[in-house]
Amino acid sequence: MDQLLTPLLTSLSVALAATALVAVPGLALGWLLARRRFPGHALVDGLVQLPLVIPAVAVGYCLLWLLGETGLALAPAALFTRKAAVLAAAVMALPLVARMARLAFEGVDPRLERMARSLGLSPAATLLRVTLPLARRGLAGALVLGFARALGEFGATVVVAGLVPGETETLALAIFEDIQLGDERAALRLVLVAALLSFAAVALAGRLASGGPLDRGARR
Amino acid sequence: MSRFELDLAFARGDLELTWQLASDCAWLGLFGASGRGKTTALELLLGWLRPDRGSARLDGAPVGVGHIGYAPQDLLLLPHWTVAQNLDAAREAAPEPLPEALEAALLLALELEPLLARQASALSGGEGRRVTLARAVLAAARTGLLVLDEPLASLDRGRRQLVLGFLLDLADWRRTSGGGPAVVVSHSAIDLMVLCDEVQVLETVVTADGTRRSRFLPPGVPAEVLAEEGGYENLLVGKVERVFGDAASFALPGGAEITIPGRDLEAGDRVVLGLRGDDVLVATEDPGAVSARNVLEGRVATATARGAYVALGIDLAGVSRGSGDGTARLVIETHVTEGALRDLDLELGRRVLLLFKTRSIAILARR
Repeated sequence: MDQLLTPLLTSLSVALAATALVAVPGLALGWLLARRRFPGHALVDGLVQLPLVIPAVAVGYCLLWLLGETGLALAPAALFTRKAAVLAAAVMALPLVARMARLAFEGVDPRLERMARSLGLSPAATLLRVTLPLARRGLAGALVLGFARALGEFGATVVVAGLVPGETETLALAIFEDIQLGDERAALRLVLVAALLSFAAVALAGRLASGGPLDRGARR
Repeated sequence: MSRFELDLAFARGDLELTWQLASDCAWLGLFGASGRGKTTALELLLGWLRPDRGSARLDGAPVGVGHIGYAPQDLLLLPHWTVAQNLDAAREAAPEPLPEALEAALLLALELEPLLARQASALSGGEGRRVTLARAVLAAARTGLLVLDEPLASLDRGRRQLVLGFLLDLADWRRTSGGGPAVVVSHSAIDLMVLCDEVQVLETVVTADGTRRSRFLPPGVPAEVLAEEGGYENLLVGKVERVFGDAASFALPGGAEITIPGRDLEAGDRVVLGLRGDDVLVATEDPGAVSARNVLEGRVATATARGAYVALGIDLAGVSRGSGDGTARLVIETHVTEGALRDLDLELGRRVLLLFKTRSIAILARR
């Protein structure tokens, strides 16, 4: 049973931690891209999207270089620990969270924000009392999708976190290990669990997104 | 009084808009048909849109943010809040509250009580318009800029009178207490003449390629516009002085009094009177005893041929409009035939008497 439960719990805890880590920067990036025009907008947009298309292993290599002794040695002790797994999952989830958050913010009528400013709400109050509440469903959807992405992360994680059972061995890594060891039955069980979890997360994100930026039945 | 200094040009899609105005007034009215750029003009003034050229300055500065009461056509109520929360946000924005009596009149005229607990996103279009109007009034309070886009549209007849009455009270209060400026858009020139000190008409030319080229004319409502709207070339706005029997006396801007139908009127009522050019007779010398109750003196200021007749603009001598600097003069339009023009020798500058019956005067709006 531990063969199933341990990677499941590891996966959940890594994905949750990664989502928490990525929430603020991801939503902030989404807001920035949706609401601000600044020099280098396209560059930031491209950089944020990069992990969506570049091989995950390449991202893992970059992280390895950033953290490890062979590169910048920012945090060599973190390599092959839970921390590295969380970081890898977070980096891979960030573009998706930022992208979905951007869509959610773009779904809020900027004229409503102007009206709030005209009335006298400060920019911060406008963000907190108008923009965020109106975008909340889309933003929640963005975080759930980010969580799902973190849950399925493999390529970057395997490079920086390795296969340490109970520490870094998530569902995806455990499946890989079972296949390597030829234990097809164990792999299948894990695949089913992973599929179920991912499906639930994607379905939830879809439900949230279909509610749109406003509440149901908002405008007649 | 506020200083409006507008000189701007804006083009977007098939609309080209130019707006020039240099005027001191408290309430500015913008008149024109729908889809010609009036809303665009408001949002240029508010700074929500950036002009391609020029600027809009109000009392020497661009319009900033905060403490602005704008009631847009698309409402822009904050949909996740209740009506009460939307109104509270406006109250918080105002540096001083609306006087209690005025706020009570506002809630009553717009029948807002039953809506307060409702979610703004669940309001019907008409309900939403009432709420957005109230929010604008509360946010602007006394000193803020008030911008109303078609405040009386889509109200039923009875409520229209109530709301217009409220707006007149509001305008009076803001004027007499040194309040801020207001800009009102309407497709009814009569409403604007009741409410505003100056009215600018938006003139639109649609070019062969479909471009709508719109520009605001200098302040003033041309007779053709009024004639088109109510069939009355002359509109007089002012207050009823006294009521006697079924007649009343009405003070023209500047002081001269005329007699108007007085049924249902009370002293102090603010009214808009309509008078057709066809119903005004012209005499070159005192006709002595006549049945027409109203005899006014003036000089021929303009003469415009309009096919079967000539429209004369008679400047009521020495009569200045409003309490302003006296440069705006009250001109009454009257229609005469070519023959009468020749026989009476009605050249420009000629001193004439205008005669019209009490019953020729229609009361178009009152409260």
